[in-house]
Amino acid sequence: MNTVLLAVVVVLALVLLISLLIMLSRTRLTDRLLAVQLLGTLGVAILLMLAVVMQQRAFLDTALVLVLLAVVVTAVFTHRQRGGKS
Amino acid sequence: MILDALSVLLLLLGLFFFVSGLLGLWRFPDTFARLHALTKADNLGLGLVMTGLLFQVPDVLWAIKFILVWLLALVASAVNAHLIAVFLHRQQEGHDESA
Amino acid sequence: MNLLDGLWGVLDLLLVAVLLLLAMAAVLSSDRRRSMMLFIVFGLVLALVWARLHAPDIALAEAAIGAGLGGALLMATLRRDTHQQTDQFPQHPVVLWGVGVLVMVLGTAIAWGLFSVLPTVEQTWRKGAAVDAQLAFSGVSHPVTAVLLNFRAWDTLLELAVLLAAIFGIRALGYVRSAYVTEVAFSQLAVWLVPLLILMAGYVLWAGAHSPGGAFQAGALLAGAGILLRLAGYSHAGLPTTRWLVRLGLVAGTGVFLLVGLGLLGWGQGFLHYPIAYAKWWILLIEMLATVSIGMTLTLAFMGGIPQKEAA
Repeated sequence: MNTVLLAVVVVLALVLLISLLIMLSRTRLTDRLLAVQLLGTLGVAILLMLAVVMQQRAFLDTALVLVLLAVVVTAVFTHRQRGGKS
Repeated sequence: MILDALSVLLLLLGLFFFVSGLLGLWRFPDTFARLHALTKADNLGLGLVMTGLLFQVPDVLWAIKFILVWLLALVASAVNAHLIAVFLHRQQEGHDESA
Repeated sequence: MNLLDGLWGVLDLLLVAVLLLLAMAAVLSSDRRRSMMLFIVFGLVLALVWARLHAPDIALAEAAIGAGLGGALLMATLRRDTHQQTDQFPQHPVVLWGVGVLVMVLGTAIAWGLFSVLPTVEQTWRKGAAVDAQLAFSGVSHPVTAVLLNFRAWDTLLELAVLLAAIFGIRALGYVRSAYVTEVAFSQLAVWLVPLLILMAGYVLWAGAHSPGGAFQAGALLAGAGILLRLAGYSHAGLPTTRWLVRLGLVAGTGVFLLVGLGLLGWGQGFLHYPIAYAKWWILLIEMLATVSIGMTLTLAFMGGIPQKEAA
């Protein structure tokens, strides 16, 4: 079973690589933000898979932290400042 | 054995949604449409992968934590999508020229 | 070849390719905001790589600080900076070439250093065994926490002192000037997420005694809560409005660490040599206060100065 799970992880990593290439090919900031979002979700999925494959419960905590702080990062990127630009 | 097969089925479905999110990001014509495609990958892709893994976990605590990760990811993804949509809307209306 | 080993090999290659691509793109990008985004994704992928290398402690720290807080702090810095400068890096050829040569020299030195360290890797494994042997006397059951707060407590104390020095510098910049435009929908959601972040911080701190976790990760999560509050329109970002309370919070971690160390020295134990029976409680006390200090420091660093009494 572990071999199957690991194969899925490899495919997810491949999707990660391709979405990174798409991100690099985009010029607009919002498109890049979207790509970052997809990369983040892929990262969480890979961590969850690795947690099972490697029998490391601590990776679940890492996934939780990633999910929670992802909102903070997006919020900081998209919020406007009063009076100033962006 | 049946559980393993179920796991594989769900994981493959999850992969399908991740790949479709990728395709959406690549091919969809405008950013709002891409946002729509991405939220599918976020919610369903991760959800299905998580459910597939649920049949492989050693004990109940793991399962609880898996579900917790997914629930939080749902909330986070909703907030993120909202923030990006508002940001994009603002840009398109021309209030903000900085990006 | 075994299929499983082959798959691990493919995964490693993919992760390294992504990491290198990200690093190159982040450095070569001419726009600072793009560099920052790439840096955040770099943190994320680095966390995956640490996980793959069986280092869950560093993976957690990288996820909290590299992928999470680092990006927020960089963005806050850029916002402060854009009033004077453009988004472009300096492109003078002499500077670029000079930096390039310097990086190559340093890179060669690091590669040589790593190469010469390789034969001693086995000895490092033995040191790991030594830590395991002493674990029972450290007061905690997780080897990384035992090293950070007992065997090598010095290093952690100095790291906290570095943070304290940094916040002195930031406070010297003056009062917080700008405020954020608040949105109702976001503020409603932030109210949901802030308690979760605080809860998670408490859990990560407590988990540090027996599994990966600890003060820096927990502090980063607290700071995440502070930043969300700030963006949701709370001008003090959840920090106390009384000035001396803020100052006390900032120095609490370093201060108590130092006092415990000196107290034990006076007791005849040696600097930061906890008596075995109470080691757990001393470590817990220090970690709790360090978490508060780190959280407040990072939040104030995001705000970029001293919060005003009556902020706009």
